[in-house]
Amino acid sequence: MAKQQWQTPELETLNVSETMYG
Amino acid sequence: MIEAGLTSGHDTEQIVVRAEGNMASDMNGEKVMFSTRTGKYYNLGAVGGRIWDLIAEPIDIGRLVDTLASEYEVEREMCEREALAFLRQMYRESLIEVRPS
Repeated sequence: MAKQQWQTPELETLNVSETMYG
Repeated sequence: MIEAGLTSGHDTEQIVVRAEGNMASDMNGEKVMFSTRTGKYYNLGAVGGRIWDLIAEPIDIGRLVDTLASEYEVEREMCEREALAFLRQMYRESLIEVRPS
């Protein structure tokens, strides 16, 4: 099975308006 | 003290597991989570989401890195370094627990 592309994992803190409404 | 352990040479022998009080869901291929401890929303991204899946049960960091390196196109050394940095970020936000093996 082909391996997936690695992307450096980052923990991004969202604000509520971004999360709920875009 | 535990965080210091995550930066030591013995870090891959430690065991990590999700902390209680987090609600996660998949959104457009990425994992988004709400922590009832911090009251914040987080985006873990795609790889971070996979790490979150893998630490549903206690797992030693070495095995976690082995699994990631087998699934992703990445050198193991880089995988370990970046996975540890991500675990440190999550530890600082009280999203995971770290235990000695």
